[in-house]
Amino acid sequence: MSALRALAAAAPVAVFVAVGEGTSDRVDDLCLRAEIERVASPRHASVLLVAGGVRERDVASLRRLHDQLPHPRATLCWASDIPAHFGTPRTLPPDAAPVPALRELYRQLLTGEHPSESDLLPDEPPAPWRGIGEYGQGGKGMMGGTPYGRPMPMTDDDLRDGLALDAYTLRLGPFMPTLPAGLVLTLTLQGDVIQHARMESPPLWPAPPSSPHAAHAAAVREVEPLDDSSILHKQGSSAAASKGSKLGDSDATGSSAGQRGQDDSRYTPGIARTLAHREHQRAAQHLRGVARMLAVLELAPLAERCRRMACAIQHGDSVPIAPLRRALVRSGAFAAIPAGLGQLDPPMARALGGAALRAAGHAVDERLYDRAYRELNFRVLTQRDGDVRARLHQWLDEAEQSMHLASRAGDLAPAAASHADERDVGHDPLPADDAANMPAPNHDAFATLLRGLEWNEAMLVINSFEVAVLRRMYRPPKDPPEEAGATHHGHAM
Amino acid sequence: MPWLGTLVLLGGSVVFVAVIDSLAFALIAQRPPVNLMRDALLAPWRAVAVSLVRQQNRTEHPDRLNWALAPALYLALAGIGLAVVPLAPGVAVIDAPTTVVLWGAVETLTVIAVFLHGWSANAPLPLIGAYRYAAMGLPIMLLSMFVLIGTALPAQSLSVVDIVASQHDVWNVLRQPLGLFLFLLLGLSLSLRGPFDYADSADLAGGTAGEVSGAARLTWQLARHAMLVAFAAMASSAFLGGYLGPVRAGPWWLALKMLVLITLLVGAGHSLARLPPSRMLTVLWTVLLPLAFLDLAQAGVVALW
Repeated sequence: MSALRALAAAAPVAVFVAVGEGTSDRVDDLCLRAEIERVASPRHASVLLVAGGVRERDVASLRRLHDQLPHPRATLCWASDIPAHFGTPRTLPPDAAPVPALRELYRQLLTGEHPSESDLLPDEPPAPWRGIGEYGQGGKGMMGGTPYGRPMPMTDDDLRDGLALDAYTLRLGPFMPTLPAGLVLTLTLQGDVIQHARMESPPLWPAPPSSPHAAHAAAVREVEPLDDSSILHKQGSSAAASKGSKLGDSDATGSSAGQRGQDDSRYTPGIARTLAHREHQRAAQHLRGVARMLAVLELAPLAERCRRMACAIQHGDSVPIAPLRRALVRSGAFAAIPAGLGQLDPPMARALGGAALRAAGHAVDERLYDRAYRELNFRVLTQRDGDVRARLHQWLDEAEQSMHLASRAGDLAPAAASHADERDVGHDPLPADDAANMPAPNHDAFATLLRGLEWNEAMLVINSFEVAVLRRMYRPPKDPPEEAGATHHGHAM
Repeated sequence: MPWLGTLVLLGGSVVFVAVIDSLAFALIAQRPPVNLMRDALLAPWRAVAVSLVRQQNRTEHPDRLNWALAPALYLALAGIGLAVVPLAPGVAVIDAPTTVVLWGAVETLTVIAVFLHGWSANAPLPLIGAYRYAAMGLPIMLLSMFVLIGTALPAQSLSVVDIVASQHDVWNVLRQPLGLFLFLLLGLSLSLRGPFDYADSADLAGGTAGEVSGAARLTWQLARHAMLVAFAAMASSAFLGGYLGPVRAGPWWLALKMLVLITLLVGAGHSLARLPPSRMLTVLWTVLLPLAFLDLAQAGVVALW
C-alpha cells in the first residue's frame, strides 16, 4: 500500500448510511464512534452502509444511491437482507459489531483486496428523450416538458409576491440524512420556496418494537409512541399474576414477598425499574429529536452532543439536561427559529397527538391516569404556541422531566403497586383499539404546514415532529405509488 | 520577498484552520477526551489523502468548465485577498493606493465563485445553496464596505498599507468597536461557516459541495480555509493594527492576531445557530446595515475630531 493510501486508511471511514426499518437509533449510536464519519452526501462516502430492512418501493432509490458513491466504494448490509438486484455486498447480522467490519472493508478497499463495486444501473438517463418542440424538450419555448423523464421548470406565480418564477418539482428521500429515515417527499419549489408538498412514503420507525406486548404497543404508538407507559404496568401486573415472567423473576432479588408481607409488593422494584427504563427511553427519543433540529440549524457539534447524551441515557446513565439547554440558549437556537413557524391549529394538534399536542397547550398524557406516576407527583408539561420553537422547548422539558421521574422511580411506595388493581395501573385514557382507529387529520396537514415555507424552514418543521406524528400525516394514495424516479427528477438520497 | 512570506503565512494558517476546526468541533460536541489533539493534528493530512485516492465524480450534464473553475477562482481570490495585507512596514505583495477596493472586489467575486460552484453540478440542492448565498451576498458586502470605509477615514487613504500605518497610536478597534464585530460576520460568510453558511449547509446535504468528490472537493475545502485566512489577515490589519505590536513590529504580530481571529471565527461557526434565510435577510437589512451606517458615522466623527 502506498504512503498516500496508508494515510487514507488511517482516517475514519466515510460512511453514507441508507437507514432502513427500525435501525435509526442504532445508526445514530454507531456514528458516534471516532472510527466512523457519517457523511451527508453519497459523493463524500467510501462505504454505503445499508442498515435494516429496505422497503420494496425504496430499492430503486437505493440502487441509484449506490452508483453515486465515487470509486473506490463498497457496500455493507447490516441487519438487512440484500436488496433485490444489488450485486453481492458484504453482509453482517444484526447482533454483530459493524465498526470492525466497516474498518476492515475500508482497508481492503484501499489495498485492492476488495475491488471497488461497479455500477448497478446503466449509465444512461432514467427515461427516454421525448424530443418535441423547437429545442426537443417537449415544452413551450425553452421551458417545460419532461426531457429524459425530468420535468423542466415552467413559470408559475410566486406565492409571496405574484411574480412569475420557475416552478420545479423534485423528489427527496428515502435516504436523505436531513429527513427522518424512510420519508419520501415530492416538493414543487420556486427557488427555495415550497409551492406544494406531498408525503409519498411515511418515515420508518427508528427502533424495532421490542416489547412482549408489541402489537398492543404498536397500536398505541401510532398515536403516542412514548406515552405507552401504562403498558408497563400491565406488564407488571401480568407479571405479578404469572410470577413466572422475566420481570417477576428479576424482582425476586432483594425484596421477597415475605419481607413485604403482600404478594404484589415484591414486584414494586421491578415496576420502578421498568418505569425508570421507559422514562430513559422517552428522554433519549426526545434528545434525538432535538439533535435532528440542531443539525438543520447548522449546529452539528451540539447535535452530536445531544445524540451522545441520548445514547448514554438509553443505557441507563443519569445525564443532566440543563447544561444542554443552556448551551442551546447561548447558541441562539431558540431565537433563530421564527415565531409561529409550523404552528398547529387546535384541531390539527388534536389529530396529530404526541408531544406536538402538548406543545400546543393541551395537557394530554396517559401517565396522568397512571397510579404510579401520580405517586411521583407527575404533572403534564405544556407550551402555549404550538410552533416549532414550542416543540423544541417541549422536547427538552419532557426529557428533563423524564430524567427526574426516572431518578425518583425508586421512591415508589410499595402501596403504589400492592394496592393497585389492574384497572388502576393499566388505565388507559386512549384504549389501544380506539388509538388504532383514531381519525387521521381530515385534510392534508403535511401539505398545509409546508406550503409557502423556505427550504430551511420546511426542514425545521418536518424535524420538529416525532416519527409517529409524521406517520399520522401520511395519506396513502388512492392508486398504488409509482416507482421512484419514473417521472420525477429523483434526488437519490 | 513579500510573496514568499505571504505563501508561508497562507500555508501555515490553512493547516492551523484545519486543526482548530477539528479540535473545536470535538470540544463543543464533548467527545471523550481521548486522542483529541492527536486526531485534530492528523485530521487535515488524512482528509487530503482520502480526497486524493477518491474518484472525482461527475453528474449528468454538468457545466464542466465552471465546475472546474469555481474552486480555482475561490482559491485565487483568497490568495489575492491575502496579498493586499502588509506583513511589515511597506512590505506587501500588492501595494497599490486602492487595495481596499481590490479587497471589495475579492468579496464580490467570492459570491460569483460560490454561485458557479452550486450552479455547475446541474443538481437541485447545490443550486438552492448557490441562490441562497447570492441572496445574502449583497447586504453582507454593503455592510463590509461601510465598516471598511470607516477604517480608511483615519488613514485618509484606500491603501491597506496606510490603514495599518494609521493605527500606530490607536487601533481601529478602539476607534470603531462596532466595526470589528460587523466585519467578523463577513468572515463567516466569505468562508461559508456556521451562522452564515447558506451555501454548503447541512440542510442541503452539503449544498454546493454536495455533489463534489475527490480532488475537486479538496480544492474547494482548501479554498474555504484559505479565504478564512485571508479574511483574518484583513481584519487584523484593518482593526487590530496588523503587524504593529507593543514591541518590534513585524509579521509575527500579524500572525498572532490572525490565529486569535481564526480561533474565534471557527468557534463561532460551530457554536452559533443559523437563521432561516428570510429571517437573516430581515436582520441584515433592518438591523445590521443600519448599525453599519452608525458605525461609519461614528468613525467619521472620530476622524474629524
